[in-house]
Amino acid sequence: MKRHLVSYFVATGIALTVLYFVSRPAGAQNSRAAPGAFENRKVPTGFGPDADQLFAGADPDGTGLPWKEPPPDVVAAAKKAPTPHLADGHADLTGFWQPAGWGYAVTGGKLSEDGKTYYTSGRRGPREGPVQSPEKVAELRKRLEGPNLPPYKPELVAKVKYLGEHQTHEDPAFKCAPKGFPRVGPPTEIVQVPNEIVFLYDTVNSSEQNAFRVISTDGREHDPTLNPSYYGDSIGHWEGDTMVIDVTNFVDDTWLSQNGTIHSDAMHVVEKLAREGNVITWQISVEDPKVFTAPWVITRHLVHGLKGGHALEESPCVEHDSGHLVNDDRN
Amino acid sequence: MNTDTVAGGLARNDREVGRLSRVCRFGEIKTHRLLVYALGTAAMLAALCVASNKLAAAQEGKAEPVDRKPNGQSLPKGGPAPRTADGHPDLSGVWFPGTSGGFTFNAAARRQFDPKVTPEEPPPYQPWAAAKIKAMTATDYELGRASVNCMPRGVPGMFLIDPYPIQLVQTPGQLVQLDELNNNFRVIHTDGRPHAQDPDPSFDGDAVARWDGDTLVIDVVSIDERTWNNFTGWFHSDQEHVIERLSRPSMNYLIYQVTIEDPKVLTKPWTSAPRQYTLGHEDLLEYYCTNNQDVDQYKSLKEKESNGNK
Amino acid sequence: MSRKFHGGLAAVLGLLSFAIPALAHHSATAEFDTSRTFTVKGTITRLEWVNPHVYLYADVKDESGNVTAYSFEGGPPGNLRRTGVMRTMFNVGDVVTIDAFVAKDGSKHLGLVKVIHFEDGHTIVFGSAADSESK
Repeated sequence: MKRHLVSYFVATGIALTVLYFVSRPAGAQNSRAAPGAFENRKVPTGFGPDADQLFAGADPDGTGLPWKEPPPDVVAAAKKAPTPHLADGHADLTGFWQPAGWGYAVTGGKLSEDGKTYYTSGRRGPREGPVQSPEKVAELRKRLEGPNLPPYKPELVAKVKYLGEHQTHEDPAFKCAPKGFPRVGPPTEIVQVPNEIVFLYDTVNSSEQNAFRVISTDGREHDPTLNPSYYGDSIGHWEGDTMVIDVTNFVDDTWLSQNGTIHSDAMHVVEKLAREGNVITWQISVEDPKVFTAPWVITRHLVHGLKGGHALEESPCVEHDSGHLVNDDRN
Repeated sequence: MNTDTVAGGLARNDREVGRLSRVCRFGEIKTHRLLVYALGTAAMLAALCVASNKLAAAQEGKAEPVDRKPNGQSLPKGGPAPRTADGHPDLSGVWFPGTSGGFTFNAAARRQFDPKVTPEEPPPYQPWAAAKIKAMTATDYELGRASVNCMPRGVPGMFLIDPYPIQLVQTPGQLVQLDELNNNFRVIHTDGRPHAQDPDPSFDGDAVARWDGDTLVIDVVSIDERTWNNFTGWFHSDQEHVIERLSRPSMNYLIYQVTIEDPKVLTKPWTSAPRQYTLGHEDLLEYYCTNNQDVDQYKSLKEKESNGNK
Repeated sequence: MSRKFHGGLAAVLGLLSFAIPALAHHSATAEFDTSRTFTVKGTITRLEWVNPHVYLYADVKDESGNVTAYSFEGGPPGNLRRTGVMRTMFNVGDVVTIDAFVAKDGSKHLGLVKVIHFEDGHTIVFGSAADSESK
């Protein structure tokens, strides 16, 4: 399959490619890029398709969350790599942590044989049609009723269900409010230095906005004079080889997922990261005595991603759809 | 008295101060950073503890941060800049525009450069660009300003037109820049890689950097055309090419200088004055633009303007 | 919208998945009827490359010379980038013929982009080959 594509690209795209390169002085940017250039295009950050792209079904454990879990054999293999450590002896969490199942390769596109038509999708995917398919409706229902949803107090269950079913009208993130933590999910990229750890998030898995968190690991306490925030106040310390991050002081108008999962200002999250080889086991435990009957605990494995990959800038969020929605169909 | 308030921040390059903070920690203690540098270690400990106790009493229950440098004192140089293992200056730190190492209402201390000492030329617009900017109404200026429309400042706006601090985190192979404004970040590649082939335009552009002696030279292309380089209409084309220079001449000072080339908009390249940033001992705060009602109001104004002109 | 890209990805790896992560803003069916299309020819006047949907604006002139502004919604910029579609492929001033899905609320000048044909003969299909052949 790949060879066919290569020969077609060579046969039909070479003129466009030559033109493309010749017309671009070094460092400057041509304003037009035709489909013929596709075959030579690497993903903008400079790395291409990677065999390690790990995709498993979304919501494998019935939490209603979109974060994927890589296949167990992939995790096992990646764990076998040596674990890098910093000079202070702790594991180095630094890296590009292939966001829960998405890679950055140009994987969807396909050029027609005559080189004139570019398809964003290589194969026909299930098309929604004028109304949602029964399968889709069932899938969405399942996400609202899974076995590992947040353990809400009985008096809140109906409200959460209502919000989830009307998500496109009720979700603050729908209109570009920051998703906040922990809805943003596991970090896309981590940079670890002696006194702090920086988490970078881009849109692939998480927010439709760029976001970062700075986790202080210098032994400080929480600062209660800080204003409540979307991403909380994070302090971290090592327990053996596990980085344990305590996050408090949240605003209360974010959701924990797309499913109407509200929380209060009493929310407290303990986030843990442990690196073994090229795998980080990432876990959050969300406590909220005002809304939950017990902590909500979610675990995922992050596999070190494509070599040279970094969190990418995401375009800003501007919402235009809400005035045109005719029903509550959600995604 | 007003003193430097620190939201629990600690100097990343000064473990000694870090120890002091832990020693003097009785809940929400604010420590006096200028005192630390001025008096020396022994005096630091004593002064810090005394000042902390007084502050704790004065500030208990206080919700609003106070002006940190009301007298606008410029930070001293603070000794040599730290260096990383490979011998380059370590640019890491939280950097505030101006010379006071924090927010201040003192205009002189907030200033990134003194135009009498290092004047900055106005942008050399081509006639068509100058005419376009001249034709902008006040409403156009407002709608185009990132401070109104909440778009990211981008490059080099995040340095030229941004009063908020940034944080640099330097590790081998990359320099991460965190912007307090709108909680944004960019990753600047310092591992020798070339620009990406035909990157999608972005507000921060595609940035690759190399060291030129003790100066990090950052080359940026493919910058989203929605960014402005000043607040008075300096738009740019897709041909804009930005070269940034970052250096840390001493512990407390970061210097930023930028050259903007834009053959479609400018008659020649433009270079900024060297702009000063000073080391802060606070963390970045979270800043999101989530209740922006200005844009709709300006858009209505603009409609009225346009209708009035018909 | 992003369901199509996701479908391609899943096929490549032999896994099927209906579920779309939070990237996909809303169901296409909440706003558009993907069984009905309309076609206009116009000139691109503006691009809004934003999340969660890019927007393409075009001025369409009718036979009498009246100009109407149309807006077309696309997918998230990050998704488009991952399928190889860059903002630089669209320019203000491009004369294009756009096939788009109809808005359900009756908005006549709003569509969900399906195919964009450029004057020089190249075409970008927001979907697969099979998608573009069906009407």
